[in-house]
Amino acid sequence: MVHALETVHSLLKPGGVLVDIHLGTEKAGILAQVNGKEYFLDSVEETDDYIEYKQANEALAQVIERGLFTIEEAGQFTFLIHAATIEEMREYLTANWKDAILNESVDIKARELLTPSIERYGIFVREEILITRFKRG
Amino acid sequence: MPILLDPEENETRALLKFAGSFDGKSVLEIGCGDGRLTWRYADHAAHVTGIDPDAERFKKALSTRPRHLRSRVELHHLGLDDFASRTHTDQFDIAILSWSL
Repeated sequence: MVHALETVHSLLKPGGVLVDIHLGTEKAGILAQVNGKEYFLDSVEETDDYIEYKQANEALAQVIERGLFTIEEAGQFTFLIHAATIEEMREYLTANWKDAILNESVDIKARELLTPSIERYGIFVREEILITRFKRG
Repeated sequence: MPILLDPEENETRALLKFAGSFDGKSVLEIGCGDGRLTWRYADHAAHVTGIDPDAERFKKALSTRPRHLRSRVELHHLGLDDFASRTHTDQFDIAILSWSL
């Protein structure tokens, strides 16, 4: 990761800007929305326990210390993935977030919330994403 | 209902805020994927280079690139090292690491 940041540094013009967007170390949550009300089902686990995001933060800290980049602004935003059903969400995660793990309890909880009186129902994953603006040193 | 990604466009708003002005800027997006985020800001930039090593996502980006962005957005099926080895240094005003660090 440090090597990637060194490469980005070389490609940027002096004074250029790097915007880094990556998942924070907080686990993403999977929720059900039932008639406008949200129900937390579980956290989305990862096979490597979100280690790469900690490594990304460490790599960024290293290149800052070496003066390759300076932080100009840091913040975060919420990223949502909406699906109609838990099966649809599983399918999407399998294809696009290969190391994500949804425990079986999620399916059970999601089905428990599905009752005949429901008018609106949906499943979503909520991720807190870090965004940082760096200036090339 | 299809899968909806970032329906509130929080990511686009955050990028436009954090990148500052794209006007007249040369942008490198590392990990552009299927172009989902690229198409949302490319109108503002002078030129965008998107790279991604994932063949499937790259194909999707090529096929979904809006016609009016074809001259402005170039796409390469390459990882960062390979791209850098073919590219001059000090080229870009803005680099975006898009979920790829």
